[in-house]
Amino acid sequence: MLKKILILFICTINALSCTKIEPKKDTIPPFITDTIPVDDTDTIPDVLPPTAERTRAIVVGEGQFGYGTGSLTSLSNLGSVTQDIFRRINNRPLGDVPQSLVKIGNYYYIPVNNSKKVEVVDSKTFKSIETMVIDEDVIPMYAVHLGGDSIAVSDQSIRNKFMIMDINHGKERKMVRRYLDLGIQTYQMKVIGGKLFVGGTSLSVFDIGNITVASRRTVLNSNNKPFQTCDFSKITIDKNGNLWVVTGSNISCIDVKTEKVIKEVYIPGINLRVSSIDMCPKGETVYVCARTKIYAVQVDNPIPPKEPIFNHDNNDADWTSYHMSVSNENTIFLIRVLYGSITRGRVFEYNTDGEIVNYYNDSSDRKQPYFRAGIFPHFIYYIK
Amino acid sequence: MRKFIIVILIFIFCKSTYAQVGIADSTFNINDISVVERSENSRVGSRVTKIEGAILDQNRTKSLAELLNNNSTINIKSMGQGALSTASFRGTSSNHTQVLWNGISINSASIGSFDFSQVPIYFTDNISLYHGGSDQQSGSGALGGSVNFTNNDTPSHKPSISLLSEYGSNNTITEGVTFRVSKNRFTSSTRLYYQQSDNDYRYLNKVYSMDSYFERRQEADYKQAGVMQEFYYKTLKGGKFSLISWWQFDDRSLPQSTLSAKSVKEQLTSQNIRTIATYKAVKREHKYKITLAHLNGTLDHIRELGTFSEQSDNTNNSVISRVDYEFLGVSKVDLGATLNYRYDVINSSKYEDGSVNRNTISTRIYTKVRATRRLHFDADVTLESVDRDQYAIYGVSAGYRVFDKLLSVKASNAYNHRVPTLNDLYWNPGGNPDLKPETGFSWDASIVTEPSIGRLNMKFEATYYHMDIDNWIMWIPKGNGYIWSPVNFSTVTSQGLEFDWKFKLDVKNTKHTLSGTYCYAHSVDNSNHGDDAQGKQLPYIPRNKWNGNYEIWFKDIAWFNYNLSFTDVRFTTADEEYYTDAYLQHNAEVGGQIRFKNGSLLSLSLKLDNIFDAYYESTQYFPMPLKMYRIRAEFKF
Repeated sequence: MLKKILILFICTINALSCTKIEPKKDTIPPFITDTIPVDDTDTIPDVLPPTAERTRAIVVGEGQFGYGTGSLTSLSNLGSVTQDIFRRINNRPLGDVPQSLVKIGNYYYIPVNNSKKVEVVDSKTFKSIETMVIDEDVIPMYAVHLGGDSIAVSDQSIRNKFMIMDINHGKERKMVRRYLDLGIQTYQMKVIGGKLFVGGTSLSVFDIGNITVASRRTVLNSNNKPFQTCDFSKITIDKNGNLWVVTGSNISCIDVKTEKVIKEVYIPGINLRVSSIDMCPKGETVYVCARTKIYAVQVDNPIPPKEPIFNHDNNDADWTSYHMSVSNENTIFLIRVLYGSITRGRVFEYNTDGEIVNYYNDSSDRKQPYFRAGIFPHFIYYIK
Repeated sequence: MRKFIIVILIFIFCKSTYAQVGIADSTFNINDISVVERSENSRVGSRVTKIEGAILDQNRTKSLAELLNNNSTINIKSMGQGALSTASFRGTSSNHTQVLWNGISINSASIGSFDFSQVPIYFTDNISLYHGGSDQQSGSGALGGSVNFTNNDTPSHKPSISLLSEYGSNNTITEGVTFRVSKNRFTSSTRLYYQQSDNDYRYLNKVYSMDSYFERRQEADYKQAGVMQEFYYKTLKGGKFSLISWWQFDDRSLPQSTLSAKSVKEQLTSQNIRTIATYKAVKREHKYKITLAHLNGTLDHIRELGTFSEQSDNTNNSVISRVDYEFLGVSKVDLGATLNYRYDVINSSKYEDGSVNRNTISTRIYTKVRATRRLHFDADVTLESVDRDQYAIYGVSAGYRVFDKLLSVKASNAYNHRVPTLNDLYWNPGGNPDLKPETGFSWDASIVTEPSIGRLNMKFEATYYHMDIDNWIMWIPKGNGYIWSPVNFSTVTSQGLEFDWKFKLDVKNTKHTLSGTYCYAHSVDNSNHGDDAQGKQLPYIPRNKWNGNYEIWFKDIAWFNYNLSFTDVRFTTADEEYYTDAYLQHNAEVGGQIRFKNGSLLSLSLKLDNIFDAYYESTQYFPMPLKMYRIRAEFKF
């Protein structure tokens, strides 16, 4: 009897051990890792048919803080969406809270803030090339190419460390880092005219060849006071080579040469936390997102807009507007997230008249005016 | 399935009879086996699981979290050995689990959930798990179920001392001392417990960077100390007075996830002093029990990241007074009432005024009817007043013994609620004073069979449960996104199956016990927020969880125990897109004991946990230890 019971017990264990729920796994479309060029520097061969699928944009998803669900989502020119490319190709998560992506040469650099690292990924294959571990107490947020083998990495934390990292991905890699105590939190950055503009709790300027604490200059507003820039929003450049940033209740245009504010434009309802700014591809129109409303400001006639060009309140009040950016095709991508639910965000694509451009099939094959991209999608990189 | 349930209900309500005469809450000491009869609060038709004394003995040096994970259907979510561990029943959240110590709820009024890593098994004599929302003995809140651990009055004819010492992997040292003395009608028991661990176990980090590498767990060391003093006194007139005081101190570093910055240092220090005084007596047909309790706790949390650090301190005090009365004057019917008053006051820098308090008064009336020898049923109603709000909850259950030990059926139905925690209401910033209580409607039905064939004794219990929870509270960002605030966000339906089985066989000089549990939980979000979460399994609720245990004793001298514990895939996001892998743990223990002529007892044991080095995570990216050993010696004299 005992033997029978034991045999039954062991069989049950074996049977149950073998039963495993296999969460669904999407296949990776061939165009993601194929030899078809997917970056903005490679030339698309003439033989490539016009309908060939290629990556159009990459959405960086923050994931939920502390849960390591940061991701990259690919959107193709034909509208197909591939979730979590990094994890699928590298068989590990991207990390905890990536917030941006920058392409330098053949690689994407992805600062991952709570993981204190910068992931380096091959732009054609999405294979991990290197994990640049940061050994200081910083929260890396954005990276920008300074030229040559140098990148600057901003620090969102209040420890005020700003990093210069050398990227030499040759056979003998050496990672040289410099940490500068700027005394401010640093967010988005822009390199233009031989200068590095660093947004944050104030807008700082450095000469590229002399990035030191002592050489830091601060841009002042019309009241001659330093101003804070939006932590999520871009520093964007217009057709005249001037910078535009979100600065509290205004957007400000800054002359790169003089480092002075040329114009401040009041936008109703914007704030430093949830507002976004981006430029149309020709550099003629600045688009600003204040919660669900999109405003347009003409670069040559920057008058404060009274009405938004459209409102993307889609009767989904639970979903919060999280980010906006403008594509290479001058369409406006809007991201909405659902707080309280650890789930993928929605990305809508509008034309400048506020009409939905593309519809996508959801998991039930129903047409939706959005596609899903990562948990807390935050940043979109458009491939030219 | 529906037809099957209807048949059970028809059986319950149309037939009649059953036994189990109400025995007063008593403890009998038969050699070394303590038998605690059902408390006056256990329900006839609800599922109650009691953790075996032998299992408690084997796990004396473990926490309640570790014990429940390997020996019950309860789902434990842990950040690692010695780290924060919460428990949930039947696909609900950890906030829906009430923890009762000797009948008094010790859940924090500010947080709601309870950290099961802070209860050493060394301080428990009995553990009962009340599954479902029908346990309302200590008021509302147990939407998922409750864990009740109690202490026994075990008179000792002569002073007895028990010394326990254990050494394990990662420099884990455990020491325990128990001193018991009885004189006339007085008994005193003193228990001291200490455990510390470097907890720097090694694991393969496959997720942080391009190249996998072995590393040791950092910032996970902990120290735990406790003293429990029990006094029992029996009066000449049959009354019984008890005073139990428990001091517990925990100091631990909080490890970070394998994906997070390694330079973050978090330290959590807590101290709890809990005291319960009770007096119970039976006078003619009146049975009453008076309880006074004081719970004091402090919690200091420090988080450092380089030169930056933040600290929060929290002190809570609760005073509970309770009177239980039962009228025994009606044959076959018990009538009872409980009047409970609880005052909670929390001091925290996170409240606008630095302090908040809550008054809770509840009145419960209940009846148990032994309609026939085979049929019993009970019902209770509780009216609860929480500050200025009034609520009512109820529970009904029935048990019918169809063929004596061969077949019993039982069922229960309950409506329960959980009021928002004080943090939910008053946390600054973000507290939401307009929150509604979470409400839960649940029912379950069970079949129990306890056949015996020769020397083989068997027990098998199968339960189907269903519960609907409304106004599920979640914290979400509001306003400009900086401030998080709780809202009534979801409605959840949870249903599933639970199985318990046990076989006991005595063959010559050996005693064999084979036991196990299995739980299938389908717990889904019904809310339609358009987030692909509707109808999906709630995060961190495994659909399947089982464990098995085999134990053999040889001549009461040596034993061997083998334990298996399986936890299925758990999704970590609401849309089921991310998950943490299933895992199966193998644990074994071998030991022996020598009984000396003077009655003293020496036992030695070796325990191996996670024998096959299974990599597993209870919380995603928080790796748990690979193979661990523990060597234990215990001397009782």
